[in-house]
Amino acid sequence: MISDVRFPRGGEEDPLAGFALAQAIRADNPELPIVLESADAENAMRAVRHGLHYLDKTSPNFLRTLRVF
Amino acid sequence: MPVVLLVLTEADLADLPGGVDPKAIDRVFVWTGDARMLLSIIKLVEDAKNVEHDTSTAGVRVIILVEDSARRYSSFLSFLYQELMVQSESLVAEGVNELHRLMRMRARPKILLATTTKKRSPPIAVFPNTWSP
Repeated sequence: MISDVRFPRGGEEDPLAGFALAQAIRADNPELPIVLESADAENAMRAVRHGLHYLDKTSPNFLRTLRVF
Repeated sequence: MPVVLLVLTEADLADLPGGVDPKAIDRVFVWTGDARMLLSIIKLVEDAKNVEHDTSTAGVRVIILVEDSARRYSSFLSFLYQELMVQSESLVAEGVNELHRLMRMRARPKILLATTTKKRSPPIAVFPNTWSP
């Protein structure tokens, strides 16, 4: 799964919706590869703390890094 | 019949009275001038129709993309489908006969696009077979 971090959840904009989704999926299937993408640098550290892969949306190497993932 | 709205910029959506009616328009794409986008739109519609059958009967894998920005998923999907086609073609080249090569081409992973989620149920819960190991 490749997921943005901020998107509408339950009809409301949620700045951390991607983390909630990843957590819900991980609880059911810990083996599913998940990568979160965001332009907010704070989310990079948050992803590390959650044990999730992270991609910087603003990076010029975004697509190259995703290809390796 | 799936209906896709192509706009030049996301700002064009503001000109639609009442916004995009999800009953009339299935998906909005922002045109980037990349012709591959037309292919990715068709593939995305096909994948949504075939995913349940292909995952349950053939164990085809699925890439779930969660992205609410039409501009971003429009270009991103072109990249993803291009990558999948390149991978599929490399596998096809290794097929032992014509049938084997055809099966490999058809077994490419599907892509599902979600632009929002519900509070309590992830969108992929609909297809539990897609994420069994």
